[in-house]
Amino acid sequence: MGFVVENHGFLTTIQDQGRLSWQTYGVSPSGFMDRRSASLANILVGNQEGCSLIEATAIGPVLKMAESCIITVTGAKTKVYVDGQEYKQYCALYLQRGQVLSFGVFESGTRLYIAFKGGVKVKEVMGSASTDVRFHFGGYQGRALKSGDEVLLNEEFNEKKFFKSNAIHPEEFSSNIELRVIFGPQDDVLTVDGWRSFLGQGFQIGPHSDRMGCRLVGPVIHQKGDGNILSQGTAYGSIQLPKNGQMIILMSERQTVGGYPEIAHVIWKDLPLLAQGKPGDIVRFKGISMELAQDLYMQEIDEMKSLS
Amino acid sequence: MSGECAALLTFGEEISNELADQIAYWEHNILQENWPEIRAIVPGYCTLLIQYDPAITKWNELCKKLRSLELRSNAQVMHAELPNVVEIPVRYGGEFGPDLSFVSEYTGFSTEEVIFRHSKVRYRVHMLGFSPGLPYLGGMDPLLQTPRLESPRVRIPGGSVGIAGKQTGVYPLESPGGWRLIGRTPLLLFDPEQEDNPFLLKVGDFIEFKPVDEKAFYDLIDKKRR
Repeated sequence: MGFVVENHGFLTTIQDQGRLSWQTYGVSPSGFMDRRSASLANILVGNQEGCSLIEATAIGPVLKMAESCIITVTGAKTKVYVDGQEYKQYCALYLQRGQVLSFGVFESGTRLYIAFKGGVKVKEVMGSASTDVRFHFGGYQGRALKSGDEVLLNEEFNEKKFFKSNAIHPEEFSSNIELRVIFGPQDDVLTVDGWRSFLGQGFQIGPHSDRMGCRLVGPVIHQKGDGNILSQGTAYGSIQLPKNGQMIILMSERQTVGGYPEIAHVIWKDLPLLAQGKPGDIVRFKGISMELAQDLYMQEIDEMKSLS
Repeated sequence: MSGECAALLTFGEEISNELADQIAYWEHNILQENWPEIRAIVPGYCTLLIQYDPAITKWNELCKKLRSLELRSNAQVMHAELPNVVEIPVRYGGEFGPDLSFVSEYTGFSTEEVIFRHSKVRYRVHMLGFSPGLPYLGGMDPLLQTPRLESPRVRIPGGSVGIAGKQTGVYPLESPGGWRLIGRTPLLLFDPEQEDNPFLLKVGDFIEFKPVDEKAFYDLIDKKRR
């Protein structure tokens, strides 16, 4: 039942909102990279925002349905095919047993979300269905999906049920990404020249970026000191500055403590834009106040509420 | 502040037991309050990171709550809880600790002396991180300091006990790493299959390494499988 993975694409994993409270024990929160697209996908099929779904990076998978269900596809802009016929993203689709779901190339963005009404069924580990790829637990047998895997769903769709769904206007992802940040806690390590580079220059998303961290390459950001601090807890969006002056922005599968100075944090509302960034895209930073960042946070929460 | 969803409390700038006590005390008190906005609390050597939901409590409000907690805490007599001491059996040397002889040469102690000095101390778990359940320990005999490997090993078995500079620790899971390996424990520090608590250690625990022979090592592994 559920669906069979006919082609796993590049990195296709099961994710949900993550396992936040276990960070005390050194467990990465993991979870959706682009929280916004994932939430929208869940909302469109009538799920809770944090429900388990499929996240595909860079290349879409090919899935064959073993039961009927309601799905939707959000995130990276691509063509959606059901048995070869093209359908839209950001609206609910009814798939019947035996139908094959496949995708075109990603035209913008790099994370695709496929949500199923009721969610993907796996045994939760530490309260979450998310796959921890590095340490091999959670999700589907603690790993990314492979061709031939049979994945179960929580709910079979009963055709007698009436399903009402809104369509949402698809998102576009730019390859010029402006990120708003809150400075600190270790922004005092920056030299005047360091500040100038950080806020004045563009940085490329490097090829070694992954779910753990987005590694930026570009002008060296100069700092006082040796680029080490006594290890402290990290947050989603922490911008670390190692001695080599090349920033690392911590993403959803981040380590929980880190020993590099954190010069700033990307605000929660803008992290999805970075999560959709691909190697070669350009990132720029702009500082904002705590008050504004928390207002933007509230706006985003309210927008999600209004849609669900 | 660490972004708009986390507050970083800083208690000092040096690693010490007093600071660790203070951080543990704060963590305990915040958890006791059961504040609904708290998502996670992550202790560091000198810091406590509080991840919270600003939709429930804004930054200014959180600061006020923390300040009032501080006043109340100071008014209370801090009662020292008995520390939780975890004994960790270790098979030192041989295939279990391939760098024991290097540590012996580097420090100038015999291998027996290295084992003795490493296992006679009570270590404090300052924090957990890097990988799930990996303890950052304080208290190693400074004379055992040995630099890391110049190029890290690709694969280190889970349970390996090593020395890296001034620190010692245990790798909970198989992973790459650059520590000098002096032994291995048969205990699992992290077992994701244990649903209620997958971790052997928590921040604030103390650990003691206990040298065991090969037979005891394998007996413990057998016992674990049963």
